[in-house]
Order: sequence, then structure tokens, then C-alpha cells
Amino acid sequence: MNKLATIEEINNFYQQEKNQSFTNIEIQVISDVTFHPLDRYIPFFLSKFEVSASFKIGLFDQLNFDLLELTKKNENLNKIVYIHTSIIKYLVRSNEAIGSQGSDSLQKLLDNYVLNIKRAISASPSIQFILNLFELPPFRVRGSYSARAGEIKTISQVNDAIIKLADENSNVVIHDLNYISSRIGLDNWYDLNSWAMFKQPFSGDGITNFSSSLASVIASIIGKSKKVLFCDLDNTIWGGIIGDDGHQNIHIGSNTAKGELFAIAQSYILSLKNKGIILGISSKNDHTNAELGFTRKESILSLEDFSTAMINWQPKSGNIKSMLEHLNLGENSSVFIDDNKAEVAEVLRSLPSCSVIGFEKSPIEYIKLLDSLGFFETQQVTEDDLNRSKNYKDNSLRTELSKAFSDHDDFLLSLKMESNFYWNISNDPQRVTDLVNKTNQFNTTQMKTTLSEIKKYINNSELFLLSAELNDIYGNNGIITVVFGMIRNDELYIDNWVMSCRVFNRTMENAVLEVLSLKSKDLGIKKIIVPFKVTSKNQYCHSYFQNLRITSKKIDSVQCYVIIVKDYLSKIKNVNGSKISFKINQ
Amino acid sequence: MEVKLVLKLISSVISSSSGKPPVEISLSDSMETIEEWDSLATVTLAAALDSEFGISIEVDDLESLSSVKGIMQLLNISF
Repeated sequence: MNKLATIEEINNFYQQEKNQSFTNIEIQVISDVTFHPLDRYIPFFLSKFEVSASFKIGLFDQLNFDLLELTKKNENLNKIVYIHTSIIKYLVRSNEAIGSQGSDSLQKLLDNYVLNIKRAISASPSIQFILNLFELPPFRVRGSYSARAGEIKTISQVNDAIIKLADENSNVVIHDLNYISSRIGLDNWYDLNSWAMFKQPFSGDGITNFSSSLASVIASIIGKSKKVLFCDLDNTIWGGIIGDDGHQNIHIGSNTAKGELFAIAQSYILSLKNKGIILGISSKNDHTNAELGFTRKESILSLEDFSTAMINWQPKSGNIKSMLEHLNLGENSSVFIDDNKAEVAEVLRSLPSCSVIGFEKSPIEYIKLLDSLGFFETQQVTEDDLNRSKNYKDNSLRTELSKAFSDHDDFLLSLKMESNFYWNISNDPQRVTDLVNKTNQFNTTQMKTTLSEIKKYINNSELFLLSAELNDIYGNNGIITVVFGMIRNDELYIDNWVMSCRVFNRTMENAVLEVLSLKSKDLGIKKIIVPFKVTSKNQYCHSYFQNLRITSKKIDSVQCYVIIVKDYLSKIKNVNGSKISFKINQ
Repeated sequence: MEVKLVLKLISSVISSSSGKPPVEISLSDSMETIEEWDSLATVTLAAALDSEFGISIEVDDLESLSSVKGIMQLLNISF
């Protein structure tokens, strides 16, 4: 089995210079077992998502005290709190308690644990909590009967209670330690010597798998999960070389043992697509030949499942780059899989931010790696996720149509775009939150947020939130932009403005500024202040503001663009108009 | 297994645990001679020896984890 990381790789990571373009986050760790050395391993795995993390680790064995502190402080800060636990701690403690009766006492201890966490969650709605599900114990006293009346049953019930906490509180996500420990096996998971000596209960492999899995959960919370998977074809999607073997002879589907393995891999990839991951093909092949592979009735994946494909003899890195541009997605949101070491090396060298997975023989290797590294981890699947593939496909149709028009304006008019704006109301605040956290390219300040914060912007009279959806002849793009901020005297101060890359170059930006200006005029606001933080990823957004030719100056040492509402509205017809008809709902 | 390789591993594990640059480690070093070799580094060393060499350090061998010679003995390396 491929190791997720070697000690050498982790140590090399710490010798390298820190990458300044990474997103920095701080995570508070509340723990009742030793957290070290996970704090050294997790940053290595987070770097694959271009995130750098620092940990504020509480005192050892002070879980209840730290939870109480959290409740008392009632901090109104957006931060992540991770609660580090292992069932080992509670198993031992349950029998230490005076007059304890094994699993009854375990039940009480764990109920108490859940209760304390519940209090902290309700007292701190703006804190994002990560809770572990408990692993199964290394021993079960009553054998199989333990599942009916013993530790196994208790743990399963407590895990259900923790899942319920996540279902009922939008500021709670779970980290499924129960699954991770099962995957590597309980005998490989625990190191009871390490527990006895250091109160650190996990084996070396346990720590690596734990860290990788927790890193992917952290990345998903801040919208850094990967969005697109590019696949090679020969020996990756099917067995054999289609150009040499002919499409009738490739291994695909359950007719052959080898084909069965590719069926498992194809099924996994199709499931990724069905939960919102964009699929693309990067293959060195004759295009017509390669397409024939998908005509085999045993193929689970069809060509239509891929939103984009470049099948030619050009370097794969160049093809992936073109497809990413076409999809309006960044290199760092992509994963590429290929069995050919040379191709893997070429893409790694030319696209360092693309996550590349190579494998030796079986497609199951790359499925296991994709799964263990958690590149596509998600906390929930929204309607938008389910429609994403279709939306990107619709965009391809729009691009095709644009080629038929020599004038871009004529093309935009032909789309018959209509937008619904929502001022301080929202039918889907979760989608609004996700959009803010997942968007990098059109993002004015990079400020991340939580569902409870978004609700505050909607409901507080000194704050505002404007969101909009866009429809055209190809369908509804859903909520694609959000602007929120404060109303300060005669100024509208924008805390952040994000827009989905799906609607770039559609004059949606102009429509948003027009609606903001109209609303400002109604409210007697004279200026719109847009603080702007330039990053390596928001060039599109930066160019947009530069081309507006409006004043840019430092306010409270922050670089801001300043829009004078009256001047802006008077210019709209000639300069910054949009090709979108809109309606404001409020 | 080469003594040199293990020395390098110990040095880099201590460095990654402490967040300080790697220091040169020799056979005579121990927790007492290397400032960065603290209890946290020892926890990291135990995990590293397990994942690299499949060696779970027994409770009775805890003391071996506090010196280079002790670690060499755990790994059955003659020096």
C-alpha cells in the first residue's frame, strides 16, 4: 500500500521556506489526550490544499476546563476549535471510577462529554467546532455481545449523538475517526505502549492517517477542497492501450477480473461527479479512438460525464492549463491521475499547485489515495453541488455560442440574462456562506465567514447583505454573487464581495454595482467603500476594479476603492452598464 | 541499516518537532546534550520509529528513547 507520507517527506516540508501565498489559519486544540506530534503532521497534509495552520494547544487533560472557558468567554470570533479525543481515555477512566460497572460508567462519562460539548456549542455560535467520532476499542470484554450490551453499543450510541450535534448545529462538523481507524485496522491504529508512556494512543501509521484525514476536514471547512479531477484514459479509466489493443479489447466492466477493478474505479469517479466534482480528461491518444472506449456498454462512465476533455498528443500540463482556464478554475483546485510516471513528472513540474497522483498497477491504488488524502472532502452536498457538472457543461455551450458572434455584446444579449437580487433576505444562507468561503478569484478581501455571521449581516440594521442569482437561456446558475458589509453614516463599507467564476465576463459585476448604487441612493448613502486585498488568485477581480477608473486610496491603512454613488449612476449608461435585466427583492 | 541514516532521522525528527533547524547528532548524544530533544521530540521519535521501522517501543524500553545509543540498540544496529 502506498504510504501517505514518509518521515523524510514531512521533515523536508519543515526545511522548506514557508509559502507566502497559502491561506493562514489558527486552530485551537482542546484535548484530553496528547496532541503532539499531530501538530507536526497536519500542516504537511494541509499544504496540499495551500493552507498553513498554527495550533493553539490547550493544557493536557483539561478538556472540560477548556470547554468551560470557551463557554464563559462567549467570544464573537470566527475561529476553529478542534476537540482531540480517543476512546482509550474513557475506557480506562470508566473502570477507575469508584463503584463503576463497566459500560454503564462508560455511558455516563461519554454522555457527560457530549453534554459539555453541547453547552460550548450553544454558547459559541460563531466558533466552528470539529468533533471526532469515537473509534472502536482495542478489546471488547463480552465479545460479540458487546454490540448489544457493552462498550461497542455505547460507543455507537455516543457517535450517533455526536452526528446529531452536527446535524442540528451548522457550526459543527465531524471528523470520522471511527472510519479512519477501521480502514487501517484497530490492531494497527493503537499503540498502547505510547499511550502508557506519553498518553498519545496512536501508532505511527495511525498518526499519519489521522493527520491526513483531519487536514482534509479543515481544508473543506475553509473552502479549500479540490474541485476538478483530470483523468488519463489508458490504464487509468480502462485497462489496456486503446490505440494498440482496439476498443473491443480494453478491460472495462465485469467481464474480466481486470475489467472489474476498473469498474470499481469508474464507479468511484462517477460518484465524485454526482456529488459535484467536475471531471475532465487529459489523455495522449487519437481523439476518435479514445471516444470509442466510452461506447462500450460495460463502461460505467460516459463521455458526457466529463465537463471537458483534451485528447491529443500535446503535453498534458498545457492541456490541463487550457481546460482550467476554460472552466475558470485555479490550478490549486485540480487533481490529476495517471499511471505513467513520465506524465506524472511532467505535470508536477509544470503545474506545481495541481495535486498529482501516480500509481503503479491497479486503479484501486489511486482510488485509495484519493480517498485517504480527502481531496474532495465535503461537509454537505448542496443543490448547487449536484448541478455543478451541468452548469459547467452549460458554460461550454455558452462558449461555443460566443464563437458564433463576432461582437461579445451581441453574444451577451443573445443569452437573455435575467438576475434576481436579494437585499437583506436570503432563501439559502448556507449557499451564500459556501460561496463566500469557496470563492478565490473574485474576492475583494478574502474574508471567510460562517452561517451564523451571514445571518447577522442579513438581520442587523447596521449591516447589509446583497446576493443575486443569474438565469439565461441555458438555465439557472443559482446564487452566484454575494456582497456584504456595514452601513456607516453616509457610507456603505464592503466587508467582502465574491462572485462565482462561472459568470465571469457576463457584465454581472456591473449589475451588482448598479444595484448597490441604486440601494445606496435610496438609503441616502453617498459613497461605497471597497477595501481590496490583492492576492495571487484574485487578478480577475483586481483588473475589474482597475478598469473602473475610480479613486483608490488608503483608509485606516487599508487600500480601498471609493465609488461616489451620484457620479457612478450618472455614468452607468455610457461606461459601466450591464447586459442583464434585474429585479430587486427585499 | 546504516548508523548515518539513523542519526539523520533522529536529527530531522527532533528538528521537525521543535520547529528549529536540524542539529548535528552523534552517537554520544542524548536528551541531556541536545537542548531541542525534549519530551515532545521523544513522542515524535516513538511515532517515527513505528511508522518507519514498524517498532512499537515497549514501556520497559522507554529509557532507550532518550539517547542515540539506546535507539541504535532498539533497532539492533551495532555501532
